[in-house]
Amino acid sequence: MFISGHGSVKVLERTVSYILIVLAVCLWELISRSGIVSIALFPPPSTVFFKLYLMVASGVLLQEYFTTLYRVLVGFLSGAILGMVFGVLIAYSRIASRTLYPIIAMFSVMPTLALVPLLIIWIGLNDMLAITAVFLCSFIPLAYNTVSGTRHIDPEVIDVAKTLGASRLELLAKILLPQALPSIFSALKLEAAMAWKTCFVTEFIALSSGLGRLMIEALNTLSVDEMIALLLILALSSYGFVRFFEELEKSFLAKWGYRV
Amino acid sequence: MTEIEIVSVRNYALKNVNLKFKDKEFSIVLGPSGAGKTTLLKVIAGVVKYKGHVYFNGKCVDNVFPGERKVGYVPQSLALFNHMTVWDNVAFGLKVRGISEKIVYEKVSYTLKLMDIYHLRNKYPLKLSGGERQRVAIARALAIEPKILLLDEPFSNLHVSLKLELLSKIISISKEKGLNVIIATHNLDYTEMLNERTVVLNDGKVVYDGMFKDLLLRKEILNILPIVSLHVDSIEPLVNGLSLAKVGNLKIIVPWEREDNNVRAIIIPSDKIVLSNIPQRIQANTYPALVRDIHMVNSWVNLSLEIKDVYLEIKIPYSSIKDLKNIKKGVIVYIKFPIRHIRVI
Repeated sequence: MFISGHGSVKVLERTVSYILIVLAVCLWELISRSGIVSIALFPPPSTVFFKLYLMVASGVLLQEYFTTLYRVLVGFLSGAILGMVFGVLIAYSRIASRTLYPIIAMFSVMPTLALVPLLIIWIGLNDMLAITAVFLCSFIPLAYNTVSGTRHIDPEVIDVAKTLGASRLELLAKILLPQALPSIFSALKLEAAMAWKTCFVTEFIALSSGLGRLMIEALNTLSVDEMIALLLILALSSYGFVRFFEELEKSFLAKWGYRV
Repeated sequence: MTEIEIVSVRNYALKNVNLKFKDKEFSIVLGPSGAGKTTLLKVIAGVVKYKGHVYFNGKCVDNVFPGERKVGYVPQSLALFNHMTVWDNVAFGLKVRGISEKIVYEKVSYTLKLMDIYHLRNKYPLKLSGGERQRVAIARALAIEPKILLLDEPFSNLHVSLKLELLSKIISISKEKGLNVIIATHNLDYTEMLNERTVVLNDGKVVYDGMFKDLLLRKEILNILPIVSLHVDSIEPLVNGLSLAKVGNLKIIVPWEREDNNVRAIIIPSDKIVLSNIPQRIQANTYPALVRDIHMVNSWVNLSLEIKDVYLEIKIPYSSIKDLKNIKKGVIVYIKFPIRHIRVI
């Protein structure tokens, strides 16, 4: 292949990565079929994909998938939006900074899943449990990163905006929040995958619906092909979610001239 | 249109500063780093806290919100809004004032054309060159039709020709609009060309307030500034654009082509002087000099030099000296005054 420019290099890289994936799947199939390991413990991809087809055809998978998707979207988006608002407020208000920032900083180092047992007692075993776990998983990092992002804004940007006549609200909405976007997007990308994991594990531990519940059922019946199929769906969903925010980041920051 | 009076202003960087800037005056605030130049501009803009009073046309503005002071402020970092296009940057101050879209359109178009950046209106600041960004920052400050324009180190990191081009643009705009312009700088590349009212700040205090030419007679003030000044005995044309200035027995080639008996001195920014103890190839304006005294203060080296019969006291940064450890009292060094950095007053 003749490589003429940057675009061609990208196509080549992508083609190589697809070939590697196909090779890995072939190797997996070969090892499973060779009898080196038990086919029941390490089913070949053909069996996994067939199982996936059966799960989709029966309608069970889609129903549970949409339940998990709903929890992830509601929890993540509400957490992210509120996290950003809180972050800007903390960065801008000295009182909020002194009172709320230490709490946010403390919770930012705590894994959200550690809070799930407590949430079970406070909220009960329902949709809100998973939504709250996902909410916390996005809210705290987003608030923390927004504070960091706004604190790194050149103070002279704020001075200039004031001399131009910006009110406090205009300063927050039109200057601070957009200028903090590089930090915000870093958090969004990191936490997007974490939201799926948190929801999956919360369902797995405590709920009777969603992909996590299917995982527990598969474990109970020792259906390894179903477990691998579920993990594939989880990985693809997380990846898709992260890619969505990467593209969103590119559409904003690359346009502004930031290196993305 | 605005007279500015600063009365007993003090804060973390200023110590009882009293100043008066006349209507439509073009002023330079000079001083070393940390002298309080930026803070003085911020006091006038109303974006820092201070004790004392600031009056615009006799009216106290201490409690007037920065956005209502009619001050255009261009900080050293330019502080452009990177998430907005050039157009939106310039329109920002008008939009937040609730001005109608039609007038915003007219004023922004006019200001962009005035600063020769209309063709860049849809670009984002990070995609512009240093000079273009500088123009955007000035256009943004001018769009709100200020009465006072404050420029903090406005031309740092710009090429000399670009500096002079922008400076003449600002001078013509300020004259046309009757603006009060205050430029804070430690850069002397263009200051002497203005020959305007000059305020020198040092350690938060006003140590000089007068015309730039007269400043050259005040040795104690010159010592504060990163500048070397040499008294000129006579000057005669050499070739196109160059003249030979006589400083005692020293003949220095200077960028000067007019026949002017009023030439008083030549000045060179200290950080542009090159000093070395290694004999130089024959180069213009390079002279052997005897070190009569040398001592170091922070990142500066104070030197007493004897060049022919001329005694020179200079303060230059470490970075301008090659092989500093071998430069001692009594040795011969070679000093170079680069022609392009010399200014004739």
